[in-house]
Parts: sequence; structure tokens; C-alpha cells
Amino acid sequence: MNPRLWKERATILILYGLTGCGCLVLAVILTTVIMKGAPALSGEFLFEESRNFGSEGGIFYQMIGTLILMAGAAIVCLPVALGSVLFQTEFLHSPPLKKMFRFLIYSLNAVPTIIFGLIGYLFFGVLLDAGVSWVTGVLILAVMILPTLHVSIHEAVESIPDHYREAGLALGLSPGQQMRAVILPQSMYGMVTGTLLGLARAAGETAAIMFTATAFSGVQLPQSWTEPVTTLQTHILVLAQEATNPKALTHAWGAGLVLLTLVFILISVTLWIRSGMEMEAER
Amino acid sequence: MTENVYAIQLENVRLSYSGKAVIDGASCAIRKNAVTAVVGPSGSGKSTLLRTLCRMNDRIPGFRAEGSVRVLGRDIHDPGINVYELRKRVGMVFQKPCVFPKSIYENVVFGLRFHASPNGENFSERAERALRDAFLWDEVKDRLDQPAHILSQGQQQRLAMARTLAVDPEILLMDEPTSALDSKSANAIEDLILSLKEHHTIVLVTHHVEQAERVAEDLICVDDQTVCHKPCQYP
Repeated sequence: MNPRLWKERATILILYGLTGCGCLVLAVILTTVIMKGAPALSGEFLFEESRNFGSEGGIFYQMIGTLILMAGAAIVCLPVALGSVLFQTEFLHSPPLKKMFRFLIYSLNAVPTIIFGLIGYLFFGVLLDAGVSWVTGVLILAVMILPTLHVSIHEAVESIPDHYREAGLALGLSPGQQMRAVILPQSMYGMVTGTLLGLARAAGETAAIMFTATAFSGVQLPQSWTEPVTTLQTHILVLAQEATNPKALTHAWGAGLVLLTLVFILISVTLWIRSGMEMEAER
Repeated sequence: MTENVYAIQLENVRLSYSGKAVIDGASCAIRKNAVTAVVGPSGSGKSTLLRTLCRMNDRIPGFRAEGSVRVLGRDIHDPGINVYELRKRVGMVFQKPCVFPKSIYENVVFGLRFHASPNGENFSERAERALRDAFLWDEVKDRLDQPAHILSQGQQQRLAMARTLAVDPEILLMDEPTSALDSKSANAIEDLILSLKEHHTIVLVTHHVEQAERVAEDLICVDDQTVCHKPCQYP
């Protein structure tokens, strides 16, 4: 057979193999979490608070805590990311400064999360006297997801076709009007995707918030700015360490399944909103 | 006196990108309420010259304009000039039709929304007038809420013109507005240009000398960094 055809077939085979490997890993993880976590699920598990160090009761406040931290981080981070992107693309004209700005953002992305936790705690927790509190957690997570949000919003803004900008400019729009009329509507995709990716990252984060924002037991809804919350991530970690108690371990898997489901719902909602916007844009 | 006759006056103008001159020592004047065609070979600086008239080149790094460019009686590089107001009075239509991913109506009032005074402006009346001026009203009047992207290229170009006309510019700059269109659409645009000159000063950059002869009263040739009024040897 023609050697070029062979090469092509081999490439396709390798690509299929690699895709298969990726899907297999995902399938194994999903099946394990579902198989081991499903027995823990019940009305009590979802809507009651945890008792007896997690081996009894449910994970209601852990779910609420996770949602508070994720939503809080997104709300704090989005305007900052948007502002920094608009500053970089619309107001920063010097190429070296732009390059340096980008370098800083990428560097921020590469910082290990435990360092975020440490510095975040020293700054927000000690210096600003927030202590171990959900506010500290929200602020640390917001800083942590900032580069993810920044990069995806930046890509969206940069990919706005130049003729849209020029058309706006030629109509006499000021920079502020240009942002409102052209840049923000055209980069909405990037904002949604970026927030989603950032939140997925925040949802998986344990190290940075472990000792700065969360407590394991005895915590319900925070009543003030300085109280900690309890989260699914912390719950899973602590229960998994108690590997001797089979009930606690099942609860850890159950909490894992709930966390996975939360992220899945988040992604579905975002994709739904996105597809709605796509139709809007086509209109 | 000359300002009553001429809408645009250039005196000893030098346009350069990063120190490299595209046009040097250009002096010319463009009459009010007339169509002036700018012709010349590719890369001669026709578009650069046109874009300078509404300061569209400001955002290009390294671009520099020297000399006196007077538009509607004022030097546009005067520190006190409001560049957004200038661009509103000097509208521009580009080579490639550009419509926003919005409805036809929203496209027409796109610029108007930011320029109209908030009290009592009737957008739909002005949109209708702009669409009529752009010879597009009869084709789109029943589907104003449909996406602008469904229109043909020629219609999109006329929609872009309607959007520009809606903010009531005194001068219209057109950068090869027919080069991306078929001949039928191009003819429609040419008719439109002729009808607009009654109330507007039009500067048209074109590749086609025939087109220039059909629609323009005055001709400006741009070649070899210079600008001249008399009919040139191009092509």
C-alpha cells in the first residue's frame, strides 16, 4: 500500500487511541465516584447538617459553603478581570508595557495555590484582620481565578474583528461608548467561558482555602464577615483521612459526587446561556 | 471666503508611518456638496489620506500627520478639537460592508443612540429617513427586526451607509465602497452617491477611473507621495 496512506492511517489510529485513553480515564473516575458515592445519597444526606464528625447526617452546609465561596469569588473577580482586560486592550498603547502586563498575568497563573493561600491569609486574614473567614476565602479564590478569567476575556476582546471597532470609531463613539456598544457585547462569550473555567478551578481548590476560610465541623451559615464556612472540598479531605470508618468514607464519596454534580450543573447552565447568546448574536 | 466653498483644505501635509512618508507635501482642497474622487495605484496612500480626514489613523502606532488639515473650517489636529464630534460630522464607509450582529433597525440606530439628545428624539423616524436616503427602505421596511446578516453584500453596504447617514454627517468619506460588490450592487451605490451630494460633501476613494468619471466632479490623484488635482496618467 501507498506509504503516505499508511502514515495517514497510523496517525488517525494514534489520535483515536489517545482520545480513547483520555475518555477512559474520565469514565473510570466518573464510574468510581458514582458507584461509591451513590449509596450515600439520600434526602437526609443532602438536606441535613453533618453530625458525629461526618460519619452521620448530611452535607447541607458544606454545599452552601462551597456555593458561597464560588459565587463570591466570581462576583469579586469578574469586574476586576474585565477592568484589567479593558485597561490592557484599550488604554495601554505601549507594546513593551502590554507584554509586561501579559507576563505578570501568566506568572500569576503559575503560582502554586498553597502560596495563594499563605499570602492571602497573611494579607487578608492577618493584615486586614479578617481571620479565618469566608471573606478571606472568597478574596483568595478571586485572586486565584483572576488569570484564568483575564486570559479568556482578553482572548475574546482581542478576537473582536477590527472592522467592528473601526465602524464604531467612525460613528464618533468615545472609548466608553465603544466599550458599551462594541467591546462588551462582542466579548460576552469569553466572559461566560472564563467565569466558568475560573469557577471550575475554584471548585476543585482545597489547599488555598483549607486553613484560611474553612472549618471542618460545627459550622453552619456564616452570620458575620469573619466567620468561616465549611465546604465540600474540606469535608472530603478530612473524611478521606479517616479511612478506618467505612461510613465516613462512603460520605466522602457521596460529597465527591455532589461536588461533581454541582460543577456539572454549572457547566450545563453556562452552556445553555451561551447557546442562547449565540442565537441572539445570529439574530 | 474659501471656507464657504471648500469643506476640506490640505496644506503641505505629510503623512508617515514610523517616520516613513506615505504622502509628502500634499496640498489640495475639496469642494462642498460635490463628489471628489481620489484615485491612484495600490499602496499610494489613498486610504491613508482619506482616513486622516476623520483622524481614523490615530489608533495606528507610529502614524504621524504633519501640516494643516482643515475640515469644515477647523484644523483637525488642533489640541482643542473634539475628535468624536469630528467623526460624527465626518462619517466614513469602509471597503468591506460591516454590519453588527443585531437587527437591521438596531444597526441603523447604532450610532444615533449615542449622539441623539435624550429628550424626544424619534429614532424610528430618523431610521426610516436614513434608510430611505440609502435607497434601502423599500427592501427592508417589512423586516426591520430581522438580523442584518441575512442581507446581501450590496444591501449590507447600503445599511452601513444608512447607519452613517443616521448621525447626520456633513462629509461622507468612502473607501472603495463598491470593490467588494457585484456590478449591480455597485451601480446602486453609485446612484446613491449621486443622490447624496445634494446635502453632503463626498470623498470617494476608488480604483476605477471609470467610476470616478461617472460620479465625481473633481478628481484627486495620489501617486509617488504627491497629491495633485489635475487628471493624472493613472492607470
